Amino acid sequence: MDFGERDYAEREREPLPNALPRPPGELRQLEKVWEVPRGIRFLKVVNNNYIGVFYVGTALLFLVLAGILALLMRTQLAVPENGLLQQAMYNRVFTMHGTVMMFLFAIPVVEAMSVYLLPAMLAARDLPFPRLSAFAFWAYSIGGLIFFSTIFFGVSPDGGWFMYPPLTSYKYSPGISADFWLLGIGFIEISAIAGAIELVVGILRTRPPGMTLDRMPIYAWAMLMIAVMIIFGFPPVIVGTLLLELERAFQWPFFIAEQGGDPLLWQHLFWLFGHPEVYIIFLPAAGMVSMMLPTLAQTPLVGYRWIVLAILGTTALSFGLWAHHMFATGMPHASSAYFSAASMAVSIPTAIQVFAWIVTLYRGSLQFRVSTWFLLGFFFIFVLGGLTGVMVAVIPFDWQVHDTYFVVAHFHYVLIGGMVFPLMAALYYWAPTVSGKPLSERLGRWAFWLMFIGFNLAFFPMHISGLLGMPRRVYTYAGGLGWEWWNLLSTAGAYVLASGFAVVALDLVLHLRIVGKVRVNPWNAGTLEWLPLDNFAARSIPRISSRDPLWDNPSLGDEVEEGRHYLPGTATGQRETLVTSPVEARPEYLMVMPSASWYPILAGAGTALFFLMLTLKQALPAIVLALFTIITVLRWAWSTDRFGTHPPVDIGGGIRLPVSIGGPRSHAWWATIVLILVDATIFACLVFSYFYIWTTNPETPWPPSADPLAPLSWAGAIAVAWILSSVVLQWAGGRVEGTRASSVILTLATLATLLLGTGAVVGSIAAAGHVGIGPGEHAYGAIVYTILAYQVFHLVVLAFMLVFATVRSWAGLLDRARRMPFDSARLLWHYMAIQGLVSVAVIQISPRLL
Amino acid sequence: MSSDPQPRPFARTALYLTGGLLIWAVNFLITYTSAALVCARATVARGAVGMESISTTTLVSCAVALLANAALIWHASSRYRARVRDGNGWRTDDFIDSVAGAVAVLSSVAVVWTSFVAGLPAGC
Repeated sequence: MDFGERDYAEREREPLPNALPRPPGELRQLEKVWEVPRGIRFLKVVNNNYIGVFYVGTALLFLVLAGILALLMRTQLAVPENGLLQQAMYNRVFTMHGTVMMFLFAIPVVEAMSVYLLPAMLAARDLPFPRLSAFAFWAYSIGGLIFFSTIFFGVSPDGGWFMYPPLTSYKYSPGISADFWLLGIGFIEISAIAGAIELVVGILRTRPPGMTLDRMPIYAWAMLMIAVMIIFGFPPVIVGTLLLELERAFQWPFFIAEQGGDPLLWQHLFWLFGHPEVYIIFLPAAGMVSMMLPTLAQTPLVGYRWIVLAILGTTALSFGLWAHHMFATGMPHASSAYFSAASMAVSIPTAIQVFAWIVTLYRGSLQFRVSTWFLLGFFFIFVLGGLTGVMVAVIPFDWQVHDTYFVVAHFHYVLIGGMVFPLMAALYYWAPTVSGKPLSERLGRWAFWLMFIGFNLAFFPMHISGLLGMPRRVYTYAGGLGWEWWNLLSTAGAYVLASGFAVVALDLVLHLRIVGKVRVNPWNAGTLEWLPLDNFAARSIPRISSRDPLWDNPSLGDEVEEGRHYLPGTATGQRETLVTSPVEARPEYLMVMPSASWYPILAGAGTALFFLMLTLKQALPAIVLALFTIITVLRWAWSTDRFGTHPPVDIGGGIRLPVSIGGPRSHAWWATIVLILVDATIFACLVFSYFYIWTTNPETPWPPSADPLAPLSWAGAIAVAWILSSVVLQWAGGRVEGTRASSVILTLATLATLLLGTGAVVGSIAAAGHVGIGPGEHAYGAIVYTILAYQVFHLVVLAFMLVFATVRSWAGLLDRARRMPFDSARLLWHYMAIQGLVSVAVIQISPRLL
Repeated sequence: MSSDPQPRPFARTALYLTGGLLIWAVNFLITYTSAALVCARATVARGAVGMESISTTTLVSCAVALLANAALIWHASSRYRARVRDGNGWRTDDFIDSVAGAVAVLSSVAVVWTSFVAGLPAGC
């Protein structure tokens, strides 16, 4: 690689990387490699421009379904003592409305938009793991539709979208309704984490040459921080749902006060996810606003650095707010006060963004397109929602309005104003990149005004009915309380709002088609997604020297389309994209990407159906589906990492790059690191739960048993086993050479490592059993055995991974250049060993110190 | 502005950019944990420690966090000024330094604001 050897700035002044004319057949070969399958094979498609649109479309379908549930609720509440919905059905409807809106619409649509937009914005051919995106989409869409259909069979959850125990535990919610919620969102968690891996690696490693951190689109900054929030924000809800499901299935009393548990532990875990989630929804919308406004105002974004600062600040502060949802639970005043202060502080970075947008509008010359109207609507509604947010951050005020319709009004102003209006603006703004022409301006304006008027008519009166004392989640109310007119207005507004959505749907049906090849820039935008696009995104990957490259170089589109920039064809005959360094975006190597495949849809369907069978407590089908999914994933993985021995290739401009490198600079290594971060956060939440339970049992000896802890020598032996297992694997890693001898060494090392790991896990379980408290007796036992079960889970998964790497070695597919499966397994094993050591410290050492 | 000197290690750049936020997070964790331990663990009720321990922990943590942020701001501004003085910087460095410094300023505001709690009337 020679890109970094000469002055970088000098390269920016150099002639374009490739000369004309391009070799005959170069473009045709590129088109053929990225071709979309036809007929039934179309289901194999993994191209982001198709998967992204399907993903957005499915999320919008769930928006419609949840919206219909909202209309049912509003119709029920239109007049006092209405009999349209009975109490039990109303509970199901509001639970499904909230759950579908949050888990099946808001989070997925955020990821879906990024699957569609990011590769084009970064001039990459696709996201780095296209099959992973396709898998996430299929798992989500199949699982989501199964989950939604529970409402037709009377088994949908009815405990509210936040599912607080003890109401949702086995005692008060017998049956499988709550299990559908707990296991049903499992596939959303998997999809979200898959998305986070895509986002981190895609944004940091597949930017075009020259797109340094300070030239990255604001939307990419926002999505990068979303990935960070998913990495650290989703694990708490994963742990929460795991603990509640264990309590429901096996009576492990995490949340039962009589047995040492605490229902508030659920609330902490849920809101540790739930509050960052508000920003997981808002920040991408804000990122899209920062992309659209400069174009619509025809001026560069004002305060780029300030907006980056605001995005970083919001990301961090959003993790310090969770307990403001719990002010009314009797938390210590001192604790509440910290969260109140932090909740007010987060308004600062949000305000920075809003002011930057206002100044951009002031400096520019605004074009009044449909997107503009939706953005202006967003400003109005979101700012009102933000102001009521500051009000509910004040503890005494929150006590007054907690669980009233004031809060319902507040979060709809924030979520619909802060997310749905920008999303509508985005649909109208980016639709031309899908179908080559804009949606209807006329229908769009009708949609905007119906939605804007309908929204405010529906939700503004809720502030007043809430202040008048109307509680949330009531299926009806008595007349004469002064709530009648406000509710009637809200219901009328809801129908007006729904008609606005119907107009958008009509516009999409009439005018949106995926055409694959587009060459449009109707708004005169300056960013890369407006380059001429095909199934492979841009023909060649441009060299970037500003934040608005199309404004600074109006001929860039022609240059890219003619193939004058990097990688104008396919260098290996496969799908591929450039991998660049994370800060300076210097080309580092060529990533070979997977083509269309059945594996994503099969694994996605297998995952969704596995969760369904688990929920229905059908053990045998669940095991069969789990095995099916595992085999599919292994077969999928078998086809990866095959190009490490390919000679370096020319990408233009005299740059020769290696193909598919291994080690810490590879995208696979980065993906594994992201996975480890998720894993470590899940484990940290389990450790948090352990100490939380200790905190809430001040009068109980720890451990709460007459029997002593295991002798310290046990802990020492377990620790030695973990360390040795890692050392053996590390040693073996230095001997992966692709020879028969190295395969023998790898096999023996794998056996030794697995034996040592199994010994450490078995020893840990035996040591925990020494105190004589089973998982069903006390919350202490429940959390200790859950931590240990988590180790067992890791051991099983890593056994699969190590055996897989060993088999590849015997098959001649693992050598110095192609060692990704082994390196990933080794990295994960080291992490598991550290996790094992921390487990020993928490379970065996900490009680002696507390 | 001239050439880009050396590739920057990503981990170090990311830590530097988000240093102020990490300082805020550690400060928040310390203050929240101390309040939880003192109040929820009922240490005060059992007479082991007094409520003033929360205020003391908060103030000490706040002071340390502010010092750490001040160091970060000084580091960022001195790097920035040196580049302007020598005229041989690279714009990405300007960006990284200015954002890192601004993040530390925002972090300081958040730390001070949440630490005002220490001055509120004591009580669990």
